[in-house]
Amino acid sequence: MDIDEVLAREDGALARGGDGELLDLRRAILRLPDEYREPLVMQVLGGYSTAEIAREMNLSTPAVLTRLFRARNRLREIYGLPVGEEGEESP
Amino acid sequence: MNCNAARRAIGAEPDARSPELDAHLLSCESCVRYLEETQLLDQRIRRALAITLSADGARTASPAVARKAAARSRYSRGWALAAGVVLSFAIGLMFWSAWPRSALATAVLDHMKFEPHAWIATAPLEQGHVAETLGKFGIALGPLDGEIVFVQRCWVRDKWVPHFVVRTASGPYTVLVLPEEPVSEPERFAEGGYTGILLPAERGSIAVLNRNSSDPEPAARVVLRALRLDGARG
Repeated sequence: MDIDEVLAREDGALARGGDGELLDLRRAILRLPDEYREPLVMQVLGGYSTAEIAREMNLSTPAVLTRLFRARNRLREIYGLPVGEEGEESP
Repeated sequence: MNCNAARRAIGAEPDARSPELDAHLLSCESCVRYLEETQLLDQRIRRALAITLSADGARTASPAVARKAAARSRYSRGWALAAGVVLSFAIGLMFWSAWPRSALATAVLDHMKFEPHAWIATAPLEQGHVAETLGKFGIALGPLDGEIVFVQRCWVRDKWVPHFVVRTASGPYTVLVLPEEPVSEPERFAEGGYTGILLPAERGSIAVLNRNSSDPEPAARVVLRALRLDGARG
């Protein structure tokens, strides 16, 4: 996925309008620990596969999956959504 | 597959499918809802990354730098001279990091956090592609001491700006060209593993950052000499 394509699809008015909910989400993403934020951004925005993220971050694939799961769990909490339970493979 | 396993799979890779997950989703409405919520969350994440966060103000020195400085200070007397030099460097880094940062530097650092993939690109881009991308901003770039491995427009402080990464023998550095963001003097900053500098440019400024803690100014000066910003537009 090309980041340009993602951003181009966005309405410029959104970017300029300062949507409060999205600003809150952005701040929440910024506050995520690096170990969670980086794989999430690589996957969601960069289009990287889990294997590619694992290779680039020098992690095992299960470790990347755990970090992605935890990152989304933290963001789900912002919306009051139920969070998934941790598995045994967490590093 | 039970609900916990299904949600761990969805939470890690919302767009991935497996026969086990599909079979579970056929019989579990709540996990289907969980999947839909997660995919919606990803859409929101993409949208959230397209907006600019205002500056949060100055931040303190990173704990890693502080720990490094503390470790340096425990060196034995025999190493006093060398430790002194190193400690001075560490203190300099702390001072550098702790110095109140401008909103522009903060915005640049915030932007970097959303593009970790830019740093790991290794394949040199075709010069034509680079020239075309920069040309859309009225910007031209002469030869650099390295290969451009990443280039795209980015949304920084309510403007589209060109962003490129140069791979060199000493590691990559990244450049944001900010023709609408004038600065009066160089500003150094460091945080989260990034070391950067803002330099006044022919029009506006440029931000140059690296991740190897070296002084970014030499590379920034090279970029500044190679850039032609006379036709630049935001």
